[in-house]
Amino acid sequence: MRSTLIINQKAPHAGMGTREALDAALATAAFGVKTGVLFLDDGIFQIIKNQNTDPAGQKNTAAIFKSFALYDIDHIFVRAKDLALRGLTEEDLSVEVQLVEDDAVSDLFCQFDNLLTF
Amino acid sequence: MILHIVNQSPFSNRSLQRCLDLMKSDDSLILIGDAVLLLSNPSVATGLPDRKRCFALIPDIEARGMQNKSDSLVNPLHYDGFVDLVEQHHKTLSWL
Amino acid sequence: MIFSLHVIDGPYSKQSNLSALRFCEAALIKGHRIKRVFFSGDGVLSGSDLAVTPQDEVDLYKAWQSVATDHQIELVVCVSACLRRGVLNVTEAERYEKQNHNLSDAFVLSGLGQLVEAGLESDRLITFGG
Repeated sequence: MRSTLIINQKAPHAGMGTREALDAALATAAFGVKTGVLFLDDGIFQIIKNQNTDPAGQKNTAAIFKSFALYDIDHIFVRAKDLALRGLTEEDLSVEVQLVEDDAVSDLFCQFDNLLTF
Repeated sequence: MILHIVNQSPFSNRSLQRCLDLMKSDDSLILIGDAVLLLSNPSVATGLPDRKRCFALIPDIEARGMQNKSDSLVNPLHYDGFVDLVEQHHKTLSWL
Repeated sequence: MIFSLHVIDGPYSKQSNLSALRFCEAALIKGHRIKRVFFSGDGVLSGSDLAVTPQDEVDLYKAWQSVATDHQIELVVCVSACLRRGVLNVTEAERYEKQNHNLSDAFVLSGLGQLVEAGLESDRLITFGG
């Protein structure tokens, strides 16, 4: 079975990359392709809890990613080093993730057939 | 084997270093766009692959006046060489 | 080989749009086939028929149209990104009761499924952006 890893590198709210990454993940899952989502660098902020976005007129990206479970997207990864660098833990995140060390992140790039970045 | 593509300046953006931290030993790197500015002071980056796995686009090097700084660190090539690299590697990963 | 490209930036907002075009041209000269170029984010601005480029600059809009027409390449712009940026074909202009449409005939409006499919059906998918 083909597989696709969606890689999120950017913080939310500065652009619509978050929304497009999510739509790509859902589209990939709809194709019956094994779908993984990796959050790197500021991409981690897309799944931070407690986003109060109404005053800013933005969308709560963390809430959007919660819909992954409905689409059987359960391979969600976060680079451990990037989480720690930002003073965060898994408790701060809105979805269940697998924390991955750098060697494992590099392995993910090899394991998935297609790599989509947003 | 993955071809990593970086296009941001290492002086204003962390994507090059993040890429270097996550590359495997049989992966390659190509610098395009502002990433070639690395050549003005390569010491800002840690873990650059050796020259046979480190490439940079000639049109971008020349546009930015980096011509005299490149040969020892990177293999300069034109777009046809970039295409060949993509063909030779299993996939590409672009760092935003 | 069959390549597809994913372009994230607009024609003059970042160099990456031009880099994608140049890669495309080089791949075609070497005899490869480009199946699809999928534009998302600001990349969808590449499909505008209304832009005017100064004569001493590369006309990226015309260049994408020409390479697609000359080599039967599918140029697809992401519909949700287009709507937000005011890049509309006739159908969407009518649907949303807009007075004008501006998507070049060389481009097709579609969803992200086309990007996913391009990745699955091509030998290589290369992203240009950032």
